[in-house]
Amino acid sequence: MNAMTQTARPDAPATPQPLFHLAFPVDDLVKARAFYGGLLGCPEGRSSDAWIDFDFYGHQIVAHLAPEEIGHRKTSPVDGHDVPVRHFGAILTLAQWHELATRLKAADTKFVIEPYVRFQGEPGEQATMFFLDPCGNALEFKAFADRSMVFAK
Amino acid sequence: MARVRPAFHLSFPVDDLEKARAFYGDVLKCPVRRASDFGVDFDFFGHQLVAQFAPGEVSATTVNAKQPARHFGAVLDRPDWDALAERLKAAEMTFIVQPHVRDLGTPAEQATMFFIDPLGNALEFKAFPEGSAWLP
Repeated sequence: MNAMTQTARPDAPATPQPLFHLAFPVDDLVKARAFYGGLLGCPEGRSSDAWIDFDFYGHQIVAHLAPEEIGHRKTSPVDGHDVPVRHFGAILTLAQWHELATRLKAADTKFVIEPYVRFQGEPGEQATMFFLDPCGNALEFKAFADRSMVFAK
Repeated sequence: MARVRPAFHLSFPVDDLEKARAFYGDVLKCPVRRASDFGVDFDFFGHQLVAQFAPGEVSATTVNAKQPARHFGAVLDRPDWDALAERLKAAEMTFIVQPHVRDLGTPAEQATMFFIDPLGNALEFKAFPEGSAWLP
């Protein structure tokens, strides 16, 4: 590591973390734009009449108009809640997580799992909330008091 | 703590956890972080990827005209993308979209490859040129 790479972007990790890329089906691009762009506040990138790119906490997610693919059938129990197996989200800082929870509650979001702290007192202690977007996709946002515990066994 | 981009979290269904370990662990080289009879957590290029045993859900991925709408992957540095493409070719992966650069010379220029994992999930890996709006 030389001084140049350290000073070029002081807020960047030493090894740049690859962006995640996720494409998922929606049944209505207007609803998707209102939810991901409006409520979640994801800046919009390119779009067509078939898809919209969003900057989802620094990651590239693509809402594809594919009504036949939306929904899910399987759930699995997590800490006493049945949550859809197929879901996505991000691991935020606690401050980001609380801000988002407040915003979602203000928007009268119906949660699958209300914002709360799970595995309390265990290595994987985490704040979590779980909800569906208007197209039926399941989202989970977590925060760890200690980020190194994301993959704790 | 240095400010970092939040890690992505994706949970997806698989019909065989051993096949998932073999592919995501051995071919894609994602470290296994946690495992049970019901799922395996992988460190997928710094993101939390959870393969859950849920056979009935896997077939929910349907194929549209060219590529399944539902897919995931990562945006890699070009050298890492090249290395992954070589590793997948060596593993005789059947690609839906062969590794190539598309939209050359336009703002949308990107290296891309698209394939189905042995469990039926669609994956896409991209690399953008320096200066792309998608890069930090």
